Amino acid sequence: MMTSNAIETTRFGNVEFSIEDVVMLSEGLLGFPGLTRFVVLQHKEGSPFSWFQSVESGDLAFLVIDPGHYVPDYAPEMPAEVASELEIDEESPRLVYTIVTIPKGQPNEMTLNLAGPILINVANRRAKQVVVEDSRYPIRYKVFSHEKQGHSAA
Amino acid sequence: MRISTSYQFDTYSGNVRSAQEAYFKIQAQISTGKKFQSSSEDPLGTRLTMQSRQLKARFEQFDKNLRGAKDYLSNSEVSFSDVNDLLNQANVLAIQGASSSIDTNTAQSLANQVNDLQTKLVQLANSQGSQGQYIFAGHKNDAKPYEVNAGALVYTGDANSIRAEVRTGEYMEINSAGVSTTFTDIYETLEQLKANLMSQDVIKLSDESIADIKVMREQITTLRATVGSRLQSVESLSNENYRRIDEFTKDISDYEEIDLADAFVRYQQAETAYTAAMQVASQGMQLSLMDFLR
Repeated sequence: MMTSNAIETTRFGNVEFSIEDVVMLSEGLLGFPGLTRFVVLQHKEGSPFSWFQSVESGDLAFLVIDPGHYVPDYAPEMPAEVASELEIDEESPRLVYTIVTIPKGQPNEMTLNLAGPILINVANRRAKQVVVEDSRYPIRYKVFSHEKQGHSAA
Repeated sequence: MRISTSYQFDTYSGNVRSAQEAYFKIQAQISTGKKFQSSSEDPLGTRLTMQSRQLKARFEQFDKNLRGAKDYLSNSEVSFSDVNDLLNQANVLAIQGASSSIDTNTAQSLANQVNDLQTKLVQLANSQGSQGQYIFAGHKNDAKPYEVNAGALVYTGDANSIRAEVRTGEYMEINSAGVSTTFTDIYETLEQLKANLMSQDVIKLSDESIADIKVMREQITTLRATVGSRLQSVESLSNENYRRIDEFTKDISDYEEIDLADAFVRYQQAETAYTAAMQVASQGMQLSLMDFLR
């Protein structure tokens, strides 16, 4: 049975969602331990951007994107404890998002945090912002300046 | 195991594809496309109601708080980065001491360099933010929190976290409470390294010092990545904030939409390259799958 809920957001107005839509981060986002429940809202049809909207705080939404759109071979190592925490294995359907920063008026300067992906086990909706320690994946990966030269340089 | 992005799965796993379909169905149900349309259709006059003025004031306060958070977090990130460099240098010195038969003069010279690194470490542990506040001091941030006493680094700050309200009722920790033991441990590791160099104890240098430095580097790398990710989230929120405040202030209806649409156009241009990469990926799938199971 789908249970409906709604949250009043400053960005989107009233957003209805069902419990099944809620992604749960038991430890919250890094720096935001109190934010444990989110819904993923697509920015617009056809847009690669989505919003990680907090269910607990209507004011708080993070702009995110599947890093695969810009970094096709993005595949950081996942610590075993993360796998067991999310009950994720090789077969588990999963989604990966990274938080996007677009400086105001400068979309060309857009950066992705490849060092802190949000990993979601789609089957049980458990999620975690993982800390990736890999010099290929910087915290501020400049998307457009890397277009021509590949992304391997940090 | 490796994290993979959704579409990588999609290329070879029907299982995942159906899961994705289910996912996107859910996403469509709660898609906010309509709400965005209504926001841009709204004439500015109706948006600048009493309520939106209050909202603007609220966002301006958040902006102030976010700037404070950025000050703490970016200075912390730089400091951790510098500590990491310092540990790399210590590692080189330890390897030099351990791998060659060094004479007393060389040992002394290496130990002196370690001493310099310790001085640098104390400076970094006493890093200050733009307001002169000591960022690793907890609440006692008006006085230097670290001092050397009898060959050990002593912490005189407290373990309290400093929190900033970044959205209504939502606080984030902007300092790194609990980092003090890492700093004192690093100092201790360097002290040991110095002693091992002075006594030219090749065994201890390779068995203990190099191993200890490795552990310390791992700790600092994690701290740095965590603080960096927190900073990136704050930057992301901060940029959203600027756009929202400007939308309330100026006669432009949707800064956010302009920036995101432009980024999207650039994405579409990049998509040709992306499709080509996808083809390569599917050709190499056997290999990728093996990679994946690691």
